[in-house]
Amino acid sequence: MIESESSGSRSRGQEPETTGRFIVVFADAEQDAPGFLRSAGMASVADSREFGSRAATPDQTEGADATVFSRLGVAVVSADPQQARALRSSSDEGTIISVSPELIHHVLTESPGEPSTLFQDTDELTWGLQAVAADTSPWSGAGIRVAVLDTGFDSSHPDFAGRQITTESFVPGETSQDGHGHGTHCIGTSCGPRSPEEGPAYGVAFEAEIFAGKVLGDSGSGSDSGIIAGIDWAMANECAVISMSLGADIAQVHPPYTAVGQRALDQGSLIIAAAGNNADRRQNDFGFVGAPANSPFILAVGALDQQLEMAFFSARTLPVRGGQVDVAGPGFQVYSSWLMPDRYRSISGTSMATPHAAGIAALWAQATGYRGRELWSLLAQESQRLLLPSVDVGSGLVLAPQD
Amino acid sequence: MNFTVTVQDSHRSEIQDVAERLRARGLEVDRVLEAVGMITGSAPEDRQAELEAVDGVSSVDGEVRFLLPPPDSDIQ
Repeated sequence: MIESESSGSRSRGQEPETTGRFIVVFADAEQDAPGFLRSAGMASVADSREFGSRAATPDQTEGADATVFSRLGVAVVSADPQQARALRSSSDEGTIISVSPELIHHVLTESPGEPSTLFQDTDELTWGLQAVAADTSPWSGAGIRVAVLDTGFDSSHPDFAGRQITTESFVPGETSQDGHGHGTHCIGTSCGPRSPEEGPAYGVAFEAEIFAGKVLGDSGSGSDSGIIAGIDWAMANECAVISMSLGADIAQVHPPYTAVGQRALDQGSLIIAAAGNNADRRQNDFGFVGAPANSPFILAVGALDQQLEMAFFSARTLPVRGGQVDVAGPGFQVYSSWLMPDRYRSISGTSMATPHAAGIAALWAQATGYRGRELWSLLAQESQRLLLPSVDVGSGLVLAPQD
Repeated sequence: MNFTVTVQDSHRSEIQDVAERLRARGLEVDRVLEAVGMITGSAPEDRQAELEAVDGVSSVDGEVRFLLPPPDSDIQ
């Protein structure tokens, strides 16, 4: 099999086998590719349009110097090295996007072997930032609004000096000041700094604009009323990403979050929620995704450890519509900001995996301009597949956009 | 008892009118949330069916409470 180069050192592809032919990708499927190739010295050019709806099979294209698949804007070309160079040089003129050796593909006969992984915090970077490849991404979340609905934010934290932060409390009788620590930790992971005065970088979307909504009180408790009011506030402020590291262990979909999730997506806000910590896999108890993450329109995040294995507490898919874990993120021994004067703490939970995914969503939102359902789709599509059950990790580990 | 009212998509533009009708049926309205099309408030538990029958209401659900572990817990 051919492995593509991926971020970090996790994937080590062998030298690919090639056929000696080249795959030419044209900039525009509409242009006259056969004519272009003939003028480049290909005597015999087969055009898939000549076959109509029939397949362009090897029998029919045998002997041709080039076969053009016009609908795709792609051609397979038998070029000598000089012709290949000529085609490549015309890519400078905008006609051709790429000229690549044709690869030999094989039936996949066995699972790809995965080298063992062990991420760890360094002086420069948390293990989580390394695992999601945030450190090698050129994107910062600048221009993207991220709402973190949690226990509020410690506005005296020096690591956030100079950042654009809007706070609001939806808890009766409490200000937005974090009296628990959980909210400040989640904001640190999703949007915290890359160059703190001391210790490793720990924030994914380090230039995102932060909306810190307090929906859980200093005691850690909250209810639908405050949470939905927080979502409403985030939507009204056009936050592309709404991170909710909270959940209740109820094994049914709670109907309000179905409507809320759908309406948020319709208006370009993606709600990302913690799958839940109600498993104890050490005891063969796999738990279930609770509310609100089990809503069909809320993205549920499971937790991985430094080996990219399941964290023992991370909840498994609830077998109802919407009850699936959608993606996974670093959620074990996660270092991030905490209430002053402690300043930092390492804790574990799907609550910590969720802001990793939220920060990554902000990077993708910046990189692509996608919002809502398209952003959801991109997160899932671009996640790193893992040799773990899909009921535990969905489509895998969220990854940051690279160049 | 605290309730979360989901307003029908077709009635979201007149959410304040829906809130008025809910008040008339005994809901003490806490918040009218226009961006998301929801209304929160409280009423006696036995009013739920009556509130659900109000024109423009999709569903009325009892409030769920959420609780984080204490700050010193290793797993949150």
